[in-house]
Amino acid sequence: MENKEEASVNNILEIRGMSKSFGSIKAVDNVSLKVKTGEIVAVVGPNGAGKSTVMHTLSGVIRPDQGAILIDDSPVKIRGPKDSRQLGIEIVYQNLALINTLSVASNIHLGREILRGPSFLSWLDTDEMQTTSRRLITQLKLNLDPAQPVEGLSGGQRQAVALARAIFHQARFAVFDEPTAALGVIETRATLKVIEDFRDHGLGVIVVSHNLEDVFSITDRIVAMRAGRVVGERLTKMTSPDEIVGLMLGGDVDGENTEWSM
Amino acid sequence: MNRQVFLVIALILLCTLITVGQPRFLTVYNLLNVLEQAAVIGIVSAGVVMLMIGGGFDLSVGSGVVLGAYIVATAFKNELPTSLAISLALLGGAALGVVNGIGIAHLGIPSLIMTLGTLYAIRGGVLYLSGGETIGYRFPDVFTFIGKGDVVELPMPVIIVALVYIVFFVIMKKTSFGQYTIAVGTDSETAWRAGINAKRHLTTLYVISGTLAALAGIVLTARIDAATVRFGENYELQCIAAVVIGGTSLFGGRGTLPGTVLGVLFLAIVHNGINLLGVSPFLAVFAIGALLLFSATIDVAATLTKRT
Ligand SMILES: Nc1ncnc2c1ncn2[C@@H]1O[C@H](COP(=O)(O)OP(=O)(O)OP(=O)(O)O)[C@@H](O)[C@H]1O
Ligand SMILES: [Mg+2]
Repeated sequence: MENKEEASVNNILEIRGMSKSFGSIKAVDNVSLKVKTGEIVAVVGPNGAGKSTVMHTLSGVIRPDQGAILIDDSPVKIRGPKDSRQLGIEIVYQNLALINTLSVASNIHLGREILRGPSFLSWLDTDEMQTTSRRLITQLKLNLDPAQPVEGLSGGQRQAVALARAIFHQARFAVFDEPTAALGVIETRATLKVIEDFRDHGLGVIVVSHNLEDVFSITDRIVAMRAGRVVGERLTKMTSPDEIVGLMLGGDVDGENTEWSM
Repeated sequence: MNRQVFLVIALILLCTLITVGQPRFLTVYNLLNVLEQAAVIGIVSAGVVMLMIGGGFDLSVGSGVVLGAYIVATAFKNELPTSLAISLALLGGAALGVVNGIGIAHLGIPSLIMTLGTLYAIRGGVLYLSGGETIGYRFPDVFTFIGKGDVVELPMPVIIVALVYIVFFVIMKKTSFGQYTIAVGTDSETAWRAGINAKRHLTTLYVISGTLAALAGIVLTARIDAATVRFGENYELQCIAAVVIGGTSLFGGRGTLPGTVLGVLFLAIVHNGINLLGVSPFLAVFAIGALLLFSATIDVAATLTKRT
């Protein structure tokens, strides 16, 4: 990947004091979170804790009621998915990622087509996109034809196409919302490997997951949420699954309202 | 099996049948006549098919036709130059598309209702303003050439429709516009999340549809030297029939311009054959209905098997 130099400069993506209500439900309540390039942060918590809602504010799908998103300490505006991508944030959705009727190559490049000729023609450079796709597919050790439509691909293969897309976009930050929820053992392992690769290539990664085993095997830091709030944060190597479960269940609530330092 | 191959075989069979009954079918004169009849519906259908690939639906195209015709004829009557008259008519069609697009893509009005509304409103407006009168005028020759001229034996409307299909075929195949159309039609939420401005894209498709409808109205006016308020009646249904017979999905995301050409030809040849053979025209209506149902069934079946 081309963004190795960026890795040496640390970028920080931060959510500060974010709140979001849906009607009377306070889905997210004064949440603060940070991720640095080169680390994987897990966000865990029971169903309805507000994890996806927070991630959706990063993708621009949901606009928060309050709070700010900052990159390297300067506030950024994310009014929609386009802004988010331009800021180098790549969201890998579990289900809503791909256009079934388009090919693997088209999906990888969707919204960022490689063009040739004068830009107003938006003339596709199909050969170049095939080449790029093939390179990414090889990098991810997949057995896929870039020209094949994505419908009919298995869940794991679709996931891989989504990953190839994130790599192609040279994101600085990647967000995975339950990336392994629908995957088999082998596909899960491959996906976790890719997430680690992202980190090793210098991306900052946020992973939302219910699977503590996965979380403990790849992440550097764990943030626990409950009922819209951050209820604790631990370095992965300094904690245990039991402690994390305790935080999620609401045993000792520390770090509430989350003024923490890194 | 490939729908286009199926349609070509069906067309050949149909032509053979008609020729056996009436050899006059297979004359250059008659075939050019068929093409000319098909041309106007063909122009409108090009807009309709792209819109349907993009997940839209337009019942107002017939009113776009009469709007284009009415504007161009009125402009000439007021002695505006040809280029301006044509531009104004195309702009009128585009404006209809903008209104449809804003209502559907931005305000979320269901496309069926929105375009049914503009269908009535525009036709009603034209009827009111014209008092239901046909606008006849001694149009300049450069203008009537669009509808009546020939270039190396080919009628101008046929050349125009061919150009429309070639241009949009290339756009759909070779540019990101084509990709976005498929993406938005397949799943506009996902397309939006990929950074595509899905609402604006859909609006653009309505604008193209409206503009092509107006172009068809201009061609019609040039061909018969007058604009009548009956122009474009039932076009929406004929176009949608042609598009669906041509293999375009009712659910968006799938469809082709070449398939639509075949669908348009199919309808035109059925009409022509019925005329030539002296069969009851009611049978033609029935045949088209049956074929449409058949196409829609194939589409639904294909979509069901593809959904997991
Ligand atoms: N679009 C929405 N409209 C109304 N309420 C919503 C919406 N999205 C989320 N919520 C509510 O906000 C709360 C947080 O939901 P969210 O999806 O963020 O939880 P989560 O932590 O991702 O849960 P899960 O682990 O089940 O995915 C829930 O009570 C949910 O019902
Ligand atoms: Mg969730």
